[in-house]
Formats: sequence, structure tokens, C-alpha cells
Amino acid sequence: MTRTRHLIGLLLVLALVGSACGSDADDAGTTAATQESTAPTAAEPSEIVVGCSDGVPSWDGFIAFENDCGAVGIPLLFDVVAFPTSDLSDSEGIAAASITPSDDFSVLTVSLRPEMTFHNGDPVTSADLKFTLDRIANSEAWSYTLGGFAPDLITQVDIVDDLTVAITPPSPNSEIESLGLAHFAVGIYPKDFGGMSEEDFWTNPYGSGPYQLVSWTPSDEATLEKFDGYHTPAWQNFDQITLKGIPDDNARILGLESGELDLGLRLPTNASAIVGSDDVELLVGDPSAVSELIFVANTPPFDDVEFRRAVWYALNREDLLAGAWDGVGNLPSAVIPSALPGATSGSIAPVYDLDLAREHLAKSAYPDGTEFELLVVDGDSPRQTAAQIIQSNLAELEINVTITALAFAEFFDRFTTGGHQAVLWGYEAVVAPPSDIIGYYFATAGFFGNWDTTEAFDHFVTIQTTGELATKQAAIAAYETMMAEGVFAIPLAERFWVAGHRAELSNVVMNPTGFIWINRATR
Amino acid sequence: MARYGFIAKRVAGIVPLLLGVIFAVFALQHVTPGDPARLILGARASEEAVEELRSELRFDDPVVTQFVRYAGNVFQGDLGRSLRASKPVTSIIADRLPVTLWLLGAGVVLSLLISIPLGTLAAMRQAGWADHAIRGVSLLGLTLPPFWVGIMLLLFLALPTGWFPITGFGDTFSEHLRSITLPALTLAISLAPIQIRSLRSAMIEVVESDAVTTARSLGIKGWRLVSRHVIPNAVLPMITLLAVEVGYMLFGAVVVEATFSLPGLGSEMITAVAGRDFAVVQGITLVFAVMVVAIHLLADIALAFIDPRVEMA
Amino acid sequence: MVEGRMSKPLLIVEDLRVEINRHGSIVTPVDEVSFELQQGEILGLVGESGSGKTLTLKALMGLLPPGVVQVGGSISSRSGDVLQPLDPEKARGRIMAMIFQEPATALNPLRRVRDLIAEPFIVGHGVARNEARAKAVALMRAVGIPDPEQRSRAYPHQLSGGLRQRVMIAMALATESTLLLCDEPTTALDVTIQDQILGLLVELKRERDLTLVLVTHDLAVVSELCDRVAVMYAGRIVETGATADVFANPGHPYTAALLAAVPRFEPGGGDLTTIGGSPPDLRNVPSGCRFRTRCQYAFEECATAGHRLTHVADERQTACIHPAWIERGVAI
Repeated sequence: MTRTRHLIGLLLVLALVGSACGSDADDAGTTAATQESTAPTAAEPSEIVVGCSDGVPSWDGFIAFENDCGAVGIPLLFDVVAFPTSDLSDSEGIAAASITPSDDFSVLTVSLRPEMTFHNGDPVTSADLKFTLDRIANSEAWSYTLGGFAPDLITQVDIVDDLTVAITPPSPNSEIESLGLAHFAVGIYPKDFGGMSEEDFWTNPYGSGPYQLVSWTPSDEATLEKFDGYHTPAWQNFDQITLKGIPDDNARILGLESGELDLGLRLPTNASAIVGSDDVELLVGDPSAVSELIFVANTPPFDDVEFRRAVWYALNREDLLAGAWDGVGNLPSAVIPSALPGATSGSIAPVYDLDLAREHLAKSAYPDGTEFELLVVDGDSPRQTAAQIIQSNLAELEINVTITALAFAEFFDRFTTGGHQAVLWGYEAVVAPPSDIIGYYFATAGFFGNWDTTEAFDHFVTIQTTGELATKQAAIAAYETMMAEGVFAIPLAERFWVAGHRAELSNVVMNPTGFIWINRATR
Repeated sequence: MARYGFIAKRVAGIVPLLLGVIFAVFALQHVTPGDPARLILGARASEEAVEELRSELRFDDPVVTQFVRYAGNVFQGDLGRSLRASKPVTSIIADRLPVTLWLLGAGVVLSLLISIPLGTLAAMRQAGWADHAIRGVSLLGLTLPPFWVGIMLLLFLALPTGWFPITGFGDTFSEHLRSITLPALTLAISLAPIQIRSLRSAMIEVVESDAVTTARSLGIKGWRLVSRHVIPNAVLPMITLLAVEVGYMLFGAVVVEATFSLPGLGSEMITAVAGRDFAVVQGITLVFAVMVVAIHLLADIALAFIDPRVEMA
Repeated sequence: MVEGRMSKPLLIVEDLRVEINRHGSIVTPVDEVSFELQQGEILGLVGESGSGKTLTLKALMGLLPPGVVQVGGSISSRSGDVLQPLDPEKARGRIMAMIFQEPATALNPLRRVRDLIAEPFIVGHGVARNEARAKAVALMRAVGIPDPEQRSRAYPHQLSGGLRQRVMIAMALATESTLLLCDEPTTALDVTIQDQILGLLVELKRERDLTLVLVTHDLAVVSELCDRVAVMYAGRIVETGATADVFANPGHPYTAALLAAVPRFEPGGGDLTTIGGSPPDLRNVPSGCRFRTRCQYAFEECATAGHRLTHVADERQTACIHPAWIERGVAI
């Protein structure tokens, strides 16, 4: 979900003064000089301060998965079973020593590393993992916020021995590993919350991750310190990690420049124009988000394929990118953002051709134009600007667009219940998507209103229950074709994540979803 | 003695108001369209989960019963529990209230340090260049959005000098003081223009008043005239203005806290609203409302003590 | 002008001119005002509302409101045997003080009475605060405030109008000035109180050898209290002289008209006469004599005549150029 970012004007101003100020600071030599003279030794306690757009609201992954502090913080406190590699092509075991599917994909066997302990010294056993997975499997209420994370993929969890569980999906599924386990929210909790009530546990939680909680002000600041009993000391490069919620994008950049922050997450996409100091290095990701014009394809006027084609050709993506997104981003080349697995780059080319658009409109049921209502989230300023550009693009075809800006809750309500004609929304990866069956993610995330009326639904159901590769690829192909036809949605622009860190940090790797393994960076 | 009686009476007078405030805060979740349980759990939650939460939070009881229970809890200091942080709302508020009080207190002090000299100068040099300059600058201060002012202060003051932290509130008193300076200045810049205008016109009115003419006719002049006869009469409307401004200040605090990453009630309000953490939203709303009521009460009492014309019967 | 006088003038005002510049249009509410004030006398300054009486006093005090400026004339005061220009900034609260029309608004509401009265002692005479407060209580007693000890701790709003005006008088006395400029000091008070306050002023004048200027529109008060009278019309003094002479024998038709307009409660009941017409709009005053448009004796020359006070008798001056009035100097 896109956070409302910034006022364009402010950033334009900031871009100017930011660079001016940076050079001033250099001239005056006022920027804190890096102390190269005292070479850091391994014995010196090292700390890192991470600024995110929000603090950790909760250590429960069901709640905090959308928060960037939560996403990077939870795997520090709770050892996750596995996690995607930085290019998202595979996953690696973290707490898991091995993850083995049966030959027919009907059972998945997970073995934990031996001799792991929780922060309080209790051993981590298969009972704890079962407790964690059962909690996920039974938490219907939160399934949607996990963005397709798959509670309904787990039918049963059986304890095999002290360190091993067997997971049974509803039907054989080749994707269960990446779907169910390679997610930061699957951090292992102690069984029965260590004998505490759930409320008390989340007030002062502990896990078996590389760091343990020292202090925490919800949604503001959390301090974690190295856990001495961790299984892989190489993943504990700092003695202390502080996660700070800094809601203002520009304050995060300034915090990096001043040296108050070592690492800043979710920077504005034009951060490179703002950062004025050589002490800050930026990490610019590949596109992992796409903004789309999403519509209901079984009610007028979008039930008419020629009408959809007319809209497809009538939208000027270059204007949209320049006008709504400050030119920061890419023209869409795929429905699935091109950096994510499953994207078939270049499968769709955004063509702007008014003559072609008029031809298609003439063949549609609305040769003289028509009208529809376009919903946007009030305050989502890039998309509100995009809506106006779309409005003027379509006015060329005598298609009158009424823009309605709604508070998020109402917008989401109408969007998910199909009570709309068209919306401006999009797909944004906030966690690593489960492997290449991104379509599943789309479908369960419910992005497409009354999507179940379309033929794609059948494909997705097949994928969900069987996970068979051939079906899956067919579904993606069908999906791409339909997108090219303008079914469901028309992609408008691709966006990407930006993070920044002080130059003295190295090994800072960001994956396309913006996730950084903080504890693996080095100073 | 009359004074203590007066205070007791005024304090007693706000009890019905507080009940009204509690009712309004309670009503928040009932006037918000849709099922509150659904609102908490989100659109995709299953019916069973929503039903479970409904009965857990006892939303099915008659509204009056719910209100009595809510008000009873509030009076016992129980504002519920944060759904997300899993902590009692009172402990969240206790963590964050001091930051907001710091911000408001320092902001008001700074705004007065700005507005009293400037307002006085503008009034004394009425229609002179100083007056025009002050009016121009204060108009500018009024139009600049606080978050922009905040970022500019960070960019041009905090970053080059290193005197002020960019983020956070620190742990010690001196760190608090350093951390709060720029946020308070930002708040003060948004508050001062109205104060300057009010003070200026109050000053002009007072300077031209019969009482000051009388004092001048007796040979009283200079600082003595200003300090004994002009300022005391001119600050009376300022006290009322400050009380009226408090709502505006709280709004400003929300913005300023977000800009400077201060862990106050305002930034918590933003995240609680975004995270649909209803008990927290209610709790903070209640605290804000009580602050507004309390500050009006304080202003009333202060006025009564300063102005002998106010009947303390 | 000075020669042949018995006593020496305390204050000489010559050609006083006050202007209001409002959006470029200039109004002159006080114009060519000249008079002398003799030591120890009570001078009555009379005229209709808007004739410039109060502004004349405020100009003397240097207390003209913002936007109202003294643009001409000179004010001299006598110090010993020397006449010297008067600096109102320095004279205020030292040699002269003013008593205002509205005791309800003239007193700072936030200060106790004793501090109000004590302040001139402290500011003007360097008296310590406690001593000044004691002197304030003594003054309160002197101006006839009953129970002064207790009342000294009161705030102005807790006192009646009459008492407030007594406090105002006490404040003026506390400056130890000998010249009191009284701007309609009884207008805002109940009729029964008015006499008491005026009586107090006369008594204080006698006891303390004060010189008083009394602005009023009450001719009865003037005839009763004032040694001399100056009659103002539309910003100018049109006639001066000893009160008895002027009232018995007006030297200007306006004075005569004013006197005729006073309701007299005589047996048999005379008609209430009013002056025909209304005072001129100061933005558009008639040329020559400003009263001519309302004057039943006006003739051609009145429209061109300059304003000049002419002696018609000892200590009698009139601005009227009508031969009959100058010659006769008598009532109609």
C-alpha cells in the first residue's frame, strides 16, 4: 500500500536548497568528519540507528507487517524459518536447517537447527514451531493484511521429533515453502507464549532471533541488543540496533546527513536530488510497485472490450509519470513490477495513440463517448494528480470522468466490495512475494474488486490448491494477456524503493521490496 | 477565601462538560459509519472473527449500558488496551503525554517571547515601518505550513550547526531541551502571528484608552507607563486568546511532532488512526479534549485573579 | 496685551491651532485660540459639543489623541517672573494635571485606589511606596472620601461614580500641580453629586491656591463658580471676559444665544429658547465669522471679516464685528 509521500512543491524547493546547503556545508567543513584515524576494532561496541517511516507498532507480524520498522525489526527479535534471498529468486533457511517437500508435494518437512534457545534460555523445539504455524493457520482475521500469506495453505502441522515438523497443505502444492515460510511474519514464538497471556506476551515479547528487546515505545523507538546465544554470530554485526520511527521523509534524509541515522528506509524516490552529502550513499531498487487504473470489467462501460482498448490507447503514460510522479519511476512494462519474480518484462508496451483509441471507441457501444466515476484516496496526492491527467486524456474521447476522493476506509470498502466503476490503486510489494506465483498474491489480496467473475479466477483457484507449475505458468500467461486487453487494470507507472546509509556502512543489501537485513551490514 | 470557593465552583462547573466530552469520545465509535468491530478487523476479516470481537468488546449491549461501562472505566483510569501494541492505553498516553506537554509549554513560552516584544513594538510604532515589517512577517508566519517551517529549520539550523538533533526527544533534561527547541520554535512561529495581531490591537486600544491618558496626564511615562498601565490591560485578551488557541495548538502539535519525530500524543494519534487502533484514538481524543477544557478553566481562573472586575462570587 | 493687568498671567495661549488629517482632508477643530489664565482664577471654557473645548485642554496637556496634531500657536507659562514656552511633556504631573469627564474609564481598573493615588507621589516626587500610600489615604480624606483607610484597598469598579471622581481629583492633587484642567468633571455624574464635586473643587482651589480651567457646557455652573469665561464656537474663542459682565452683557450674538438657550426655572415659566440651526460641519466652515449662518444680526461684512478678538471694555473681548454689538456691548 502506498504511503502518501510528500508535497511536490516542497520537494522541488528542497531539491534546490538541499543541494545548495550541502555544498555550503562542505565548504564550511561543518559536516561531521568521519573519524578514520581511530580504526574500529572488533572489540569496540558498535551501534546502529535505523530510521524508518514509522516505529514498531507491535512485534506481532500480523499487525506490523506493513510497517517498515516492523518488517526489518521483527526478524531481529524472532528468528524466521526462512527468508527470500536478496534477488527473491530463492529462499534460505534461517532457523530451519532444512525444508524438504515430499516427492508429490503433499507434505513439507521442516527441521530446525539444533540447540537454539529463546532469549530467556528455553530451548527452541518443534512444539514452538507448531504453535507458531497453528496460530497463523487459525488467524483468519488477519489473512488479508498478510497480503496473501497463506493460512489456508496449512491444513495440519504434526510434530515429528523435537526439531522437526511436517506440514500438510490442503492439496499437493509446490509453492508452500515460499508461500508459507519465507516470510518475516513467521518468526518463531515460544509455545503458549511462554505461559503468558497473549496480551502480556506482546507487551514484552521475546523470541530466538539475533537480537533481544531492551526498550520499546510503540510506534516510536525500539532498542535491541545482541543475543549471545544466537546460532549464527556472523549475522550479528552490531551490539545494539535502534529502530526509530521518523514519519517525515525529509527528516529521514536530514537525519542521515547529520549522522544521527546510520540507515534510512523508505526514502522519497527522488532522494538523490535531495541528499547533499557525500557521507550518504543511496540504494535505489528496481521497480517493485505499479500504479494502475483498476476497474470492474462486468459492468458498463468497462464490460465493453473495445471501450477498454480505447482507454488503453488514450492514456498518456509519459504525462502521467511526469505529472503525477515527478518523472521518478518507469513506464510500465508489465503488470507485475519488473523487479519481481513472475514479471514478464516488456510483455505489454504502453502505447499512446489517440487515433487508435478513437477507432476502438467507434467500434464500442459508446461511439460518442460516455462517463464513469473514478475513485481515489483523498490525500494520495500523486494519484489524485494522476486522476486529473486521466480525466483530461479521456476528455479527448468525450469520455467524462468524475473524480471522487474518498477517505481510505470508505475507498477500500467500496473497492473491495465491487461498489465502484474504476479506482486508482496499485500493487506494491511490501514483503517478498512468494516466488513466481505472484498471481496468487494478487488474487488473494483482493485487488480486483469483483474479480471472481472473470475467467482468471479459475486459474488462480487451481494454483492455490495444486500449485502445479504448468497451471501456474498458464495462469500467468492468461493473466498477462488479459492485462494487455485491459481486463482488470491498466498499468500507469512503475515505482521503486530507495534507502540510504552512511558511507561507513558496507554490505547493505536491499531487495526489491525495500527489505534490508540490518544485522548483516558491517561498519 | 472567596478565591478558593471560586476555583472550587469553576472546577465543579466543568464536571458536566467532562461527562459530555466522555460521551462524545464514546460516541466516536458509534457514529463512525459501519460496524466498529469490522472497522477494527478490516474489510476482509471473516464474519466469525467479527462476531467474536463484537461479543468480546460487548458491542451488542444497549448503548446506554456501554456508555455507563465506558464512563465508569474512564473514571477508574482504564482507557482500554491498544489492539496493536497490546499495552494499556493509559501507559501509552503516560509515555507520550510529557513530550506533548513539553512541546506545548515550550511553544507557548517561545511564542510569547516572540509576540510580546513584536506586538508591543508594532503598537508603539503604529503605522511606522517597524509596524509594517512586523505585520508582513507575521502574515508570512501565518501562511507558512508548520511542516515546511520545521523542515527549513532542520535544514538551515540543525544540520549545519549540529546544535539540535534532527529526530527524537532524548533521555535527559538537557537533551529534551535541545530536542524541543526547534519543534517549539516551529509551533511558536505558527502561533505568534495571531498573538502579535491580537496584542497589537489590544495595545493600541489600551494606549489610546482613557486610563492610560489619565496616567500620562499625571506625568507617568516610559517603561513604568508600559509595564504598569499598558501591558497588564493588554494581556487580559491574550489570556483568552491563548485558551482559544489551544485547539489550534494541538493540531499544530500533531504536525510538528510528525515533522520532528517527537514521540508525543500527536504522532501516536496519526499512527493509531492509520492502524485503526480505536482505543488509542479514543484515549488521545479524550486527553486532548480534557486539555482544552482544563486550559479554558485555567484561563478563567487566571483572568479572575488578574482582573479584579471579575466577580469571584 | 499684558500691560495694565493687576495680576500676572500664569499661562498665555496664543493662536493655538489643532488639526485632524483624515485621509487627506484636513479639519481644524481648534483654530486661532488665544487666552490668558491668571494665577488663582477659575476660567470657564464654554461652548456646544464639538466646539473644541476639550481638545484645547488636551493640547495644553500634550495629550491629543493619535491623528490629532497641534500645528500652530504657542503656550507659555510663568515661572517666577519669567514667561517661558511650556513643554507639556515636562509640565504634566508637575505644574498641571487634568481631571477627566468619565471617572468610570479614566482609572486603571487593575490597580487599587491607593496605588493609583500614590503613583504621582512616587513618580513625580520620589516618595517611597509606603509613605506614598499613607499620603494617598490622607488625600482621600482631603477630597472627602469617607472611610479612606478601607476604601484605599478597593478597586475603582468597586466605587460609585462620585467617589471615583474624587479619586481622580486626589490623583491630580497628588501631582502637587497648581493648575488643574477640569474637562467636564461632573457631566457623567448624578445631579446631586455634581454640586458636591464642584463644591469640592472650589474648596480645594481656595485651600491650595490652585488655578482652574473648567470646561463645561453648563452655564449655570460657570456663572456660579468661574471668575472669567471664554466662549468657544466652532473651534474659536468668540468672547472672553469676567463671568458676571459677559453673562449680564453678552458681547457676541452667540453668547447671547447660548444664554437664551439656558432653561430658566422662573416663576411663570419662560419659554425654552434654542439656538436656530446647528453648529457648522468642521470640514466645511463658513468664511469669515463662523456663526454668521445662524446669526440673526449677520450682515455682508461678516462673510469676509477675519477672526480677531477686540477689546470692547477692560478685560472684555469679542470677535463680533457688528457695530451694534461692539458699541453697545449689551444684551438684546
